[in-house]
Amino acid sequence: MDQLQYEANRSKNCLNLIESSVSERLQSEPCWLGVDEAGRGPVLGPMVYGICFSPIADKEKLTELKFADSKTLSEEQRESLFSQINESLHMLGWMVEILSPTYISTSMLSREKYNLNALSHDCAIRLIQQALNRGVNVSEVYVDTVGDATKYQAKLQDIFPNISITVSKKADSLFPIVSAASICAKVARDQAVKNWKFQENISLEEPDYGSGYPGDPKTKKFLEESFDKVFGFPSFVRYSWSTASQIIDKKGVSVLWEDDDDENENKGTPTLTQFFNKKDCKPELVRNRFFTQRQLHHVTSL
Amino acid sequence: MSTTIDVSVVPTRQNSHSEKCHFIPCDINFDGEANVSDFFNTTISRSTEAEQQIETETLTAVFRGRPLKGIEISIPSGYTGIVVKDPVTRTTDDEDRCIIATHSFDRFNFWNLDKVPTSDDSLQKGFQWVDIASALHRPIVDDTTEDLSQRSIKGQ
Repeated sequence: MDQLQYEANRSKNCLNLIESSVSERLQSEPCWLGVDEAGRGPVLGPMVYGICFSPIADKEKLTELKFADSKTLSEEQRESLFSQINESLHMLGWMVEILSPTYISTSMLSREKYNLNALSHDCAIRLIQQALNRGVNVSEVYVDTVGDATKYQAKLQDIFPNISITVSKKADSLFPIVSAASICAKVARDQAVKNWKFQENISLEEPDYGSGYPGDPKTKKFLEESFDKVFGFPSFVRYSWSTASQIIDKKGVSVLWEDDDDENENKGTPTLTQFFNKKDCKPELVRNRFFTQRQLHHVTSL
Repeated sequence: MSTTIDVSVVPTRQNSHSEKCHFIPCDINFDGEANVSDFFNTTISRSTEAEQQIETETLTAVFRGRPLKGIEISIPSGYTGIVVKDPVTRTTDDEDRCIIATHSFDRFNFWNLDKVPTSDDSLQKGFQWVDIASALHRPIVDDTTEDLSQRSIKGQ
């Protein structure tokens, strides 16, 4: 999988789409399409969404390829199945979207919090739409659920009224087309993690950061070692994970944002008598609004 | 006590030597050297947006996983941005103080949290004071206009 474009931007706040060619059969014959993701849980690296699509007439043939949930396969098995997918592009097509760790952090830590479920749903919607834009004749969509399956299904059905949508738990082991999508996503995620080049000059005792799951001792060690007390972590780390934010709170220098106040306000109801207290104000010292609005102050000492 | 700023060692903007400064929308409880080039500059990307035929370059960056949007702001002409350092740790507040300008800059990056900077930001509006102050403090040279205005006030 050629990730060159992604690799140029891996530290940036972005999304990157990588896709296979789309054969004519996939445009003319009705297809089923599977959606799955890889790397949702880890505190490290990108999350990848994958879709795979194939003519419904070939459902039997696809079963023969013996796809299974990517988590139950070894890395070698996944690689070999991914090569098989690429050898079968006459009857298969795939697309993956790589969500950089920075994209995940900044989305979840923006002013209007954008949660991981909404982010995942939007990514799945973009990919289905992208397949339609490429002329794929999508008639059935199978999705491994994120959050409540019924609500998710209703949401997708509303957006794609002409497609039959099935959202279910464990779709990656129930439907081979979802298994194939999960393999594409997982191969892309593995490759992105393996080829990660740190833009930050960090020195690691051993360049092994483990599985990336918060519970992995190697991942924990990496988080400790790569930590910078002012900036936090390299852009490989998802700041929005509690594992990461706890380390920052404990070991980093404190940082106060302008929107931090919102959460601390309204602590404790004011007592009634407070409203009758004379406010401590000296009208002659109130500066003109021109200055207060611009936060301009007299500086008489440094 | 008095405070003086020694600007003798720092080049003025005419020398066009400029350090890169960032105005960050948060308080960082830290004074000292920080690895800005590795951890911050690597996150900056530029994009050009054309709105109403005016092309503006907006910047995005990330600090502690939070999205920043920024623009480059030039220091008003006639002014120079300086970075100062207090070389002596004083024991009392009464001692005289001399702080030294170590670097100068003629532009800096202004960052907002997840919001594209506009002319409504208090910092940019604050620069309006520069023009107003210079108008207010400009010596009045033209005597004839002054006489005319005096006359009109007196109703002559």
